[in-house]
Amino acid sequence: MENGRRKKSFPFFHKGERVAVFIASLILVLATFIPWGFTKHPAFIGGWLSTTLLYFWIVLIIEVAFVITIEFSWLKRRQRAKNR
Amino acid sequence: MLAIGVLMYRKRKAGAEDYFLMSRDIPWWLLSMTTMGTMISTFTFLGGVGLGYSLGTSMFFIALSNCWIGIYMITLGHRMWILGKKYGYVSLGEIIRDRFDNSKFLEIFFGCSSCLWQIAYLAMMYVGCSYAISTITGGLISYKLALLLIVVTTSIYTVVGGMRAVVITDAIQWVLVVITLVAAIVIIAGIGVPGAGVVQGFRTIATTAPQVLGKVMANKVWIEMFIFISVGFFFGPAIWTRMLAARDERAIAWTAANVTFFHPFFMGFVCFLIGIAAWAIYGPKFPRPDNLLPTIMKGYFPWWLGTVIMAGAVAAAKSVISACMLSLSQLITRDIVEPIYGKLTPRGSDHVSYVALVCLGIVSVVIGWLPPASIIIKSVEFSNTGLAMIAPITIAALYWRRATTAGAIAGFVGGTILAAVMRFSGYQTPWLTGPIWAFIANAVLIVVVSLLTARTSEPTVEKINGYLDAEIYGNEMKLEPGRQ
Repeated sequence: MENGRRKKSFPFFHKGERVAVFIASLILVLATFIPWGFTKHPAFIGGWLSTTLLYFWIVLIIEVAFVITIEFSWLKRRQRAKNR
Repeated sequence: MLAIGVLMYRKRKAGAEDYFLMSRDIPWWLLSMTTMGTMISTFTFLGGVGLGYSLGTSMFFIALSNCWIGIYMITLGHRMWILGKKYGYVSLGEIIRDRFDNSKFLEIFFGCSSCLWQIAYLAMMYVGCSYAISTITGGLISYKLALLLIVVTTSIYTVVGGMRAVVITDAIQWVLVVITLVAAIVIIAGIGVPGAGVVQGFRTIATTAPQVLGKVMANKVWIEMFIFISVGFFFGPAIWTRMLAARDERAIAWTAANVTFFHPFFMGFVCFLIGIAAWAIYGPKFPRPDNLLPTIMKGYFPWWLGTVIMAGAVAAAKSVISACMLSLSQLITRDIVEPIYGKLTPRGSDHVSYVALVCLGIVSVVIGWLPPASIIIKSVEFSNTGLAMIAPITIAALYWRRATTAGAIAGFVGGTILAAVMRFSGYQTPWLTGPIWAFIANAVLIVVVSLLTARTSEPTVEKINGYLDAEIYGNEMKLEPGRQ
């Protein structure tokens, strides 16, 4: 430890991983923010299922899977860090 | 529930840590159930169904936003938990006070603003729950009688049993909510009602109002709601308190995973689809969407099914009410009374909490007695806007060594006042809404004023940030009181 700078011995995510997680999160958030044309004026598949709904369900399922993966990955790393 | 309150009273130990946090020993399965019980509320069952009906696909901002609450739990919540275990913090306000030069002003402002915003949410729970009971009983139990009954019963078991009672009753109520899910499928499928069901609802909308199945909400409102729903939920005292009460990191991770899965599932599938199914029954002209679920139950389904579903809705509301009341009394005791009158004895702390809970019950009856129309949606907007203003100061306190007290005061106080003004005035710009500008101003003020003012003393920063770095990254601390 020099001049207040600390050597980080066990970050819970490495720098590259943190950048990747951040970019993936940003893409998922932007996917919900951007006002795509097909979400504003939906077409209807089979006469009832709107493209907007289909799009949001797909984004929602990807988001949930992504966030749960991060959460359990975090737990695994914390437990490994505790055992060191 | 009352019996559980009495039973838990016998297990209680004196002092705030046990009364408010169950001695920081809630295991992963119980923490998950109590947190879900606190999050799935009247807003979900009444407001969520109403939004599914009136906003259609545009209500997805709630489900898409709430996925991220789990991330706040494993980052911010985990840091709060580490500090709570080390220094015995019972409230987030105490962490903020210690990080910013023992600033009692910041702690009291945090306590007062959190209480003010959260009371709106609490009143909404009472109102929604009372409407549900009154509607499903066909007016046999009047709205006002239902309100009094709920206030009295929840106050008694919360006062008597503290967090222990709240956690156990939450878990039982969560089981009721899950049973309700099965009954909800009956509505979605339209069993027993000719021409009903979700596919018929979709077809009705596609032919009469196709815009309901598009994204009709203005993009700036969507962005505001997306940000404030999840951030405001996490900074609700009833949620962050549960992070301080976790037994271990496993409890935090599992709770985060359950919240990530169940809340979006309820809002994005169950409530949304019930709202759509209502189109097949009522078409576009149902006058009071908040009251849709009890009305469907009463009008179209057998009494026993209606009772099961509304028992779930009432259970959800009651578990949130007790959690909110306890966390509000915690804020009043720890972040308002103690900074003003000094440290309380364990027994004194218990007594102040009891008085605070009784006062909250009275205030809730007063607010709920003559509620404004469609209170459910409005109070969530109001409450989440204010609670979200706690995010920048908390992030600065837990992550940024350079943050100073002057910066924290400027950002937090300025941002909160600005958010209230923006929310009430309804000010908007072409790209973003007023409350989002207040949120940005809050963060910018913290950064700019911190950089312009002298650094916070090293021991103060090391106590919070140094200890967090040591625990999370395994770094050595420079200075830490009481550690060699």
